Amino acid sequence: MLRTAALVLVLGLVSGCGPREPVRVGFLGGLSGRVADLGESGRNGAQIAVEEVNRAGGIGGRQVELIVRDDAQNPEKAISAINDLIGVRVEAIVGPMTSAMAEVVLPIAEKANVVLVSPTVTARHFFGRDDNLFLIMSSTREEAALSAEYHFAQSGVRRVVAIHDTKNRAYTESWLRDFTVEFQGRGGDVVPIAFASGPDVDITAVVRGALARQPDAVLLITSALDAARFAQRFREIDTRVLLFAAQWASTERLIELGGNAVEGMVLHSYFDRDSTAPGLRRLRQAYVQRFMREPDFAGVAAYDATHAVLDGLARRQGEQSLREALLTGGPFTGAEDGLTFDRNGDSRRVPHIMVVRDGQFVTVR
Amino acid sequence: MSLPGPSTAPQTLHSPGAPREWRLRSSLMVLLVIATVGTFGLVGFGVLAYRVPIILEQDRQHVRAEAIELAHNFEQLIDALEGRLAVLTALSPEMPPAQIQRFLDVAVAEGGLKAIYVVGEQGRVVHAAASESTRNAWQNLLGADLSRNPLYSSARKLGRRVWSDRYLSPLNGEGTVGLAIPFGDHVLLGELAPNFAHDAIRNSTEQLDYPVLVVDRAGEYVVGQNVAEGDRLRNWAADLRAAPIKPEGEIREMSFAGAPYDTGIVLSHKLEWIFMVANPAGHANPRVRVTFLMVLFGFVTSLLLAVVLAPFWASPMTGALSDLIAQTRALTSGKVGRKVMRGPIQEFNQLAADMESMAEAIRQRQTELERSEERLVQTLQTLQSLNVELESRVEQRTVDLARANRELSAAMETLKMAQGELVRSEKLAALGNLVGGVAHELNTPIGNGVMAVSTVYDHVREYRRRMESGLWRPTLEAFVDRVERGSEIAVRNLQRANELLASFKQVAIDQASAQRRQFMLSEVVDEILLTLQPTFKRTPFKLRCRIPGDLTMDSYPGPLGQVLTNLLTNSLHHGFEGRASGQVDITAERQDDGRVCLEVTDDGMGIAPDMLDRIFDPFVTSKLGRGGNGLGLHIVWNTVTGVLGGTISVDSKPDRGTRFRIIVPVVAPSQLSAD
Repeated sequence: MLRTAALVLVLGLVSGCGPREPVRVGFLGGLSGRVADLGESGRNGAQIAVEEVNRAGGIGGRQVELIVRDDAQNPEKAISAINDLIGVRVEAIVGPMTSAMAEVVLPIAEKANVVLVSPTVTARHFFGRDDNLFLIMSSTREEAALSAEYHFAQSGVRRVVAIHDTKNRAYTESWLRDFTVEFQGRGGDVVPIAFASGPDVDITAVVRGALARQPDAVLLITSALDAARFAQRFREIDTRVLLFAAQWASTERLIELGGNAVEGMVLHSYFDRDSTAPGLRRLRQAYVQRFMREPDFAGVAAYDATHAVLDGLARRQGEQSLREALLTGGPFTGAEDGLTFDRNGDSRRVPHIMVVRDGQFVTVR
Repeated sequence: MSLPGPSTAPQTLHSPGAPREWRLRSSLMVLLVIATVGTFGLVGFGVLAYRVPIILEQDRQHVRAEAIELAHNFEQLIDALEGRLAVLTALSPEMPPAQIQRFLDVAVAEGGLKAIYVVGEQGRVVHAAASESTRNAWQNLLGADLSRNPLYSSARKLGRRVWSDRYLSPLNGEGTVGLAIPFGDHVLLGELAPNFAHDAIRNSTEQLDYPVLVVDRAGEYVVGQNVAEGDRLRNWAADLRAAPIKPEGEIREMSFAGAPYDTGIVLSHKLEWIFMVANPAGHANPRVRVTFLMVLFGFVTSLLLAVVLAPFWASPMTGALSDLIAQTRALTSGKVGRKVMRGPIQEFNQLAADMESMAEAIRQRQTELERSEERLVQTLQTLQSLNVELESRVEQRTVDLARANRELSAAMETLKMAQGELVRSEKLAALGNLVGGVAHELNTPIGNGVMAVSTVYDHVREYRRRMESGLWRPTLEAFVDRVERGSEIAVRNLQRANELLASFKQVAIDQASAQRRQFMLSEVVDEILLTLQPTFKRTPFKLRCRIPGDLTMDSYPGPLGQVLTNLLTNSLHHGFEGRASGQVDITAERQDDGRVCLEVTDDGMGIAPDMLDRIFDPFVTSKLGRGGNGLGLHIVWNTVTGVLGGTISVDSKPDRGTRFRIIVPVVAPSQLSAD
């Protein structure tokens, strides 16, 4: 009754000041379409980091609100999504999750002076640039170099067919170039085959084209969905050829969709799934409880990226911008390790090599 | 002649503290507006206070019912789909693949399903049918290994039908919902068409203006309507898992796109999805808003009606009243009013009638008043002439009085001169007494001296005669002896005379000069008494004097002696008249306050009480015309209060005597010399 009376009194009046404005942090990733797995993992990791900080009292007593937007891996959609986030005055944006989208949104972020902290962008030309894009992973070069070295030396591979997705050209071409330089430098041979990911791609034709080059191994610079589908097709025709893939494919989706076809596939990741770091164990526990699945590299990286943003906001001094706080305020909380940015906003991670065994990723190096 | 009436202009003076004055028209309008607005405001508030909670509660129950219905419809539709898929499980693997494919294509074409796969024992897709995708898409799928697909795995493991949460389609990687039905070694996988869920929502919920959404077990959005992108992309698990959802559904206040909504929440047990139907909470609720607007409309309409109608209502009243006021003013300024206009208000008509009779009464009274005024003017004229006469008379009298006053002043001057003459003659009389006293006192010693010397002279002549006849020794011795005795007597008497003269000389100096000096009171009194001796000597009255020998004063002995002399003379001449005996006591003592109290008491006949009050006034005497000039005691009073700076009082009873008490300071105030 009292509530009603108050309601009636307030009715039609301009509402007064409510609780303190939350600190808004944006998340931008592909949450629909063919690479939704990456975006979803990233969102989940970011969500857990935000909830951790809110449980600990927020930032300066203000709660943090994560505002999620979907870029759908579509440039137009990505532009409207980032403008949307800038419109609600987010302090920073965690994302985007792919290099292709980073190319599209970075100029807008620069113009609006909003910091982007991307968990998963690794395309090499984003590194070593003094811009508003902060990177959690190392560039494709470290990963590709390790891969080239591993496969040339360990697996004895000399001739590689590299299938790469032109829909995420910024990433896949960076990877391909770094790998080619390194692998050819060692005396190997790399044959690139491009395709544009989509539901109607004639996978069989691509696979047959690749096998026609008689490679020792096939490199898949694709999403998990495409890697799984290629693997299925390869294994139908040829059970012998070695399959290995860039980090982009190293999500649970690969195993779900690839089934037995992805057994023995070699992958590269900046995330050590077998790490026993206590922070990672806690994150895993929270993640499984919350989302009923294991976190993948994107989830962990997004968790780290979000923590860096929130720690940076909390440590900001006086008139300092978040950008300066991120550049100088490290190390920030990371699941595996502390996280520090260099003067270009890049960070370093050690790449690992994993193999799929019995439907599980197993770190071999 | 006009009456000094009140000003005919309306009085609009506003003193600072005075309440504001209103025009009747404004007052009536305000009354009407306040009454209308107040009533409607109260009624409106009541309506809102009564209706709003009911509406909100109805809507809360409504969204819960909607959510239940949505869940129910969803389950029914899902059941139907399940049924359609279940039919396909009757297919035998031995059938020709083309035939199986035909069945699958027909099932997909029926709608609701986007794709159907038959997964073989190795987890490989053996048959697939998809609705809108190209040949490549399902070609890609055929033979695909789904052994690790979570939906397939759980269906195999559980051996029953399983509905997925939102999962990514193996066909194109997009999020969808799938159903797995195991049969034999195979599993039939069906994926819901994307618009199926939307259609289901559209069909089962009547209003589509507010958020309706379905989330899966993991809190992920499955399908919804009117859901903002942020709400679609977020994970709802934390909001929904905070408390378990009641089996009959419940209502929670949840936030969609930052705004609060009353949300009906139902958990479907079959799908384990959560169905939410939202309706704006509080004042954002459309029905509450409509109610409020209706009340507001009524309120504003009544306010406008009141404002518009009030002048019409007020005008007949103010018209009648204005006419009344005009008539009153006319009456006030002495004009005879016409008939007052009659209006629709009974009281005003009554007032108009009373007003007219009052005007008549005033007219009559005014005529009378004018008549009595004329009389008054006549009386006033009479009074004025009388007044003029009186003034001239007073003037005459004033002149007479002034003259009499001048005459009196002259007489007064004469009297004062006479008084001075008298005082001087009194002093001369005192001097006469003094001289008499002196002569009398000196008479005896000088007489004795003369007699002694003449005796010696006789003896010398006798001796010279005898010497001629021989000088005998005895004769010589007798002669020397007689001469010695005679000389002795003569010397003694002459010395006595000399002393007396010294005393008189002092008195004379004192009285004549009125000099101030230090003296012993007893000595001065003795000297005075000495001068009075001849007066008292011939009477039977006695003087007794008791004055302490050490009483010294610094004052005026002459005036003091004059006072004593007058008082004693007064006792002698008035107190003892016709008496055979009497006594006068003179006493003096020093008082504690440093003043001297001198008393002169007689036991004579006293003073008549009727004279006692004015005994010190001049010319008051009991012997007027018989030798008293009535100035003695006046001089005494003057001297004591003036020169000596003291006070005098009298106490007397007839036949008992009189006592004068003089109290003077030991040291007299410094003063101009007395006359």
